[in-house]
Amino acid sequence: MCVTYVAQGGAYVAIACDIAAGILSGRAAVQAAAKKAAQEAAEVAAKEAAKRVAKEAAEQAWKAIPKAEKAIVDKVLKGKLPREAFDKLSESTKKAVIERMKQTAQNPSGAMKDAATKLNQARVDYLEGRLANPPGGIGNF
Amino acid sequence: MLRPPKFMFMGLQSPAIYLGATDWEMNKHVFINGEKVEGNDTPWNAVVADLLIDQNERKLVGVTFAIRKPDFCEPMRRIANRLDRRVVRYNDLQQDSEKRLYQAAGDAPHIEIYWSTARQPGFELAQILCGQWFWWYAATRTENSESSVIAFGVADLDELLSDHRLILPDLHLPKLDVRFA
Repeated sequence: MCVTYVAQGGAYVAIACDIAAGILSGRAAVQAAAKKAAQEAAEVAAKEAAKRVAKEAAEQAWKAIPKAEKAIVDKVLKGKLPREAFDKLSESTKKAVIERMKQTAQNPSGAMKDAATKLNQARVDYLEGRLANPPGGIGNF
Repeated sequence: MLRPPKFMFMGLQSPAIYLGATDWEMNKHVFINGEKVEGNDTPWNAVVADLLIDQNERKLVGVTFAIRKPDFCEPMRRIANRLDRRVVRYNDLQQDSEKRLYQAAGDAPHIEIYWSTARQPGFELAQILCGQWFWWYAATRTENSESSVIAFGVADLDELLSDHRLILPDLHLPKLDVRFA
């Protein structure tokens, strides 16, 4: 009898151990999954933050460009000045202009967004030398 | 004026206008009402502007800027409220008529600058660049501070009118004191 109880007790202990092990392994799996999810979320957040920082930096860089240089860019894009006038601007100014134009091209909304995107993308393409002729105004799109 | 003006400055603190008959010399310093000003983008970096028109008579009555960054909506509402409501309006597209006006432009709030009224208001896509237009800020005050916005100016106005087949309405506004030095 006593032996039976001991054997049964051992079996219960074994079962309990199995259950505990299962719980622990399940918990470990859950913890691992949670850790992975947290890592992925952190990576996404870091990428978003980096994008936001880059965008804000581009905005500040654009704002820092003197008005006479912004006017030169406008005249180049209308064909009133040759593209060389843009090429002569400082590297940082050119980079800031192109970055802001790209953001503008990527950002339109509404029923006329195709025309707005095409015009602003053409502005980028012309300044970067991929388009032979200045884009001019919206009427061309 | 038989020939359309080449450029325009519109006072935003009270309705007043300056029309220039010759090209605007970008490298000169600008003084408005005796105060030195600096031209730059909108306070929230809009880069492009579109047109407000009277559809009946194809008159250019103003310009409009979308505010696509939600963070800037409240500051811009405050700035618009500090400026003259007859000239500057923060439009959050709450009314059906406003939504209809901006159907083609999406649902972002807009800042509108008017120099005339429209019997049949319309929106016209133009995507004109900062470089052709500038907001003018008091040079002595902190950049982008809410009190530093003085005026709005647009160059190549004659070409803008011609490209969009628009005319300028008769403007019965006081003259804005603009000097170049």
